[in-house]
Amino acid sequence: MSEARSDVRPDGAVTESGRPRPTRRRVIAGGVLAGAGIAGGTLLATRDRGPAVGTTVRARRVHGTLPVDDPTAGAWGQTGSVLVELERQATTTPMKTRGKGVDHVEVEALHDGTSIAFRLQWDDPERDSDGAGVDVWRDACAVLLARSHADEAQRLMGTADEAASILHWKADWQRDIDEGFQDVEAHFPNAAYGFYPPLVGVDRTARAADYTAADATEWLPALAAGNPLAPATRTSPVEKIRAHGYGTAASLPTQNARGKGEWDDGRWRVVLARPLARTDSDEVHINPGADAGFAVAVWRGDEDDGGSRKSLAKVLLRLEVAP
Amino acid sequence: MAEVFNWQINRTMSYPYEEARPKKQAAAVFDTNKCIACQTCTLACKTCWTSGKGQEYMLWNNVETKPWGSYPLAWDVEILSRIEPGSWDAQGTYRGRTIFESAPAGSTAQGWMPSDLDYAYPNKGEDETSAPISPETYTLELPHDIWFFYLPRICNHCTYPGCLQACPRQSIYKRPEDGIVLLDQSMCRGYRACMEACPYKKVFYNHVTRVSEKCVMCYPAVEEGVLPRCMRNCIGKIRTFGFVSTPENVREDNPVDFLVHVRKAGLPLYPQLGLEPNIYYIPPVHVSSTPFLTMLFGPGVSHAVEAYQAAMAGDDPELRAVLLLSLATDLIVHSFEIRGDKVVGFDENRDEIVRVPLREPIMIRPEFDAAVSAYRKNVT
Repeated sequence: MSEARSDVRPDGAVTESGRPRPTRRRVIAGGVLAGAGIAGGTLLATRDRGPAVGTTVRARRVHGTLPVDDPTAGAWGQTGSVLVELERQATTTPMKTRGKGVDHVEVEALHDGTSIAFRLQWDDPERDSDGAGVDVWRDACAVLLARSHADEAQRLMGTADEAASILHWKADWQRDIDEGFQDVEAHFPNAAYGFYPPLVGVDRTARAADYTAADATEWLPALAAGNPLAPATRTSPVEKIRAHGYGTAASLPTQNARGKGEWDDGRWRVVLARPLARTDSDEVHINPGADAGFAVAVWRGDEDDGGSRKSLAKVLLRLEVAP
Repeated sequence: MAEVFNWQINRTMSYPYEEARPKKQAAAVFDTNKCIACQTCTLACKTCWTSGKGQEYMLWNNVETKPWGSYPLAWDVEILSRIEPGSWDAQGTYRGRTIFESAPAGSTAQGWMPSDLDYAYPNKGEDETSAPISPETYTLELPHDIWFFYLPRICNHCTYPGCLQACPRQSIYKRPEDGIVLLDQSMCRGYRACMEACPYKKVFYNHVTRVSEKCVMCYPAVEEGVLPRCMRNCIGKIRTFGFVSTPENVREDNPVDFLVHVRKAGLPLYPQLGLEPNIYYIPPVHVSSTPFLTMLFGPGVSHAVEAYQAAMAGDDPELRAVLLLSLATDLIVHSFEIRGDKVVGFDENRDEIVRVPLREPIMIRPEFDAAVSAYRKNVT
């Protein structure tokens, strides 16, 4: 792509060799102003072209704040996003055999020298953000980072010899953050319960967080056992994971990933971000100016996706990190 | 898939892991003839383990009424409808496919996922009989008499657990020391593959922590030689807890072995599913539908009923003695011995922990109590 060496300013404008260049929106607007016939042609051509299918994504450097909490920030969508082809997971059980999955994810990446952020976009007709129901499944997506893009085996959750680092965004966590923890009453609006034993003195409907306040987490066994997924208080919708192959995913000790997902009109736009530098010993370190390997995966809640029932990149992709 | 031997279906079968039996296998025999569905077991468990938020409809122990009751709804009908019909041959070998041998492509076992609503009616079908009761329809011309019975259920701590093999990250494990199947609360990520694969539907989802949970067989108590809470609190004393051996290692003085292997009065629940479950049931003697009981407990039903009836009639004092030991103590009885007119229970070190008369002494008192100048309503 011609703009492969372009950089992006926080306001969304693309620069090439230091010369300001109009954004895609400005190109279209300019076309409209120039004349209906030309404008129509420009608009159609721009839409039809869309992102190309590819296996290399270049993380461009932004000067200023990295838009880690805003999937619609101007910085996004300005520079060569890549359409990554996915396939239904069929390597390990349970395989994704239900539903057609997600065929493509539009991927782009930015970094500011300190952190790297990915934006994933894919079509999903339903927003599935309920994590509390027995038989309901949330939407989710993930970016897997590997030290080398040449080691194809890394695509499948890393290998026994070398851990992959994963950023996992969860729609239910996003909802917990946006709307407050989705407690029992959120999933069962008509729920009624006499009392919860250790919280007898609570003069309102007990909340999950009350157990922590009452130093009674043994009533929430996973929380008491230190399961990092169990706390009802969340600060980020993105979990940082390391994995040494299928079935080995584990939360990293340092949880410093950020992100934000928004569903609008049948499409998820999700940002997942983390520091470039490793913060845990077996985490993949990303160096500006060097390449790394990466893969993406998407879970569709309406197709009962969960765990290894997912759509994932067909090949390990190359991540070019701009200097 | 490995080939493993399942003695309950009398053949080898496919299972994702190699056969690896524990040193001891925790097990229990439930006497359905004595269960009155008082649900004390249910509450004993509930108040101990699952009274937190997110566990509202989670019942590690439940008691359902057969034939119509089920928790979660239709759990057994759902799985039976998903595996092809099978049959038992004359040697007691199951000629059909287990849930592992019926696994659809991309999975390791046949299964299904209940909905939230399926858990919301734990007493559905309670006390409903096998046929309507009314003057018009109550007739001996029906295929069988009208009946129902209670089926208390906990996790079966199977030899070949469906939940364990389904977990892609080995969050579920079977303890080598006692065969208790546990779900590591620190490792579970809430994939619910275990819930889908367990045909007995004894793994549950916590709505607040968003991970799965299951019966722990009160392992802290068992480690101390004490019975699990659901058994200790059983009003009807229907539960005999201990450790079951494989058929070639049967110890005749082990109460559970005696009930399961020697007298063959205790039968597994849905053995055809292939999990070698370790909660055994003495089938109800009053249910006239042998096919129904065979569907639930396998081909040994008629023999088990006859054995139990013989004990009740006084024709099998030894079996009666073992049944009398049931919950005569809070401690785990590892062996028993009949001494005179009593049955003695021993712990693992062969120390006596309980002594029960084979027949309770009966005293008949005069109808009139002169000391208080009143007539007694009960003279025995």
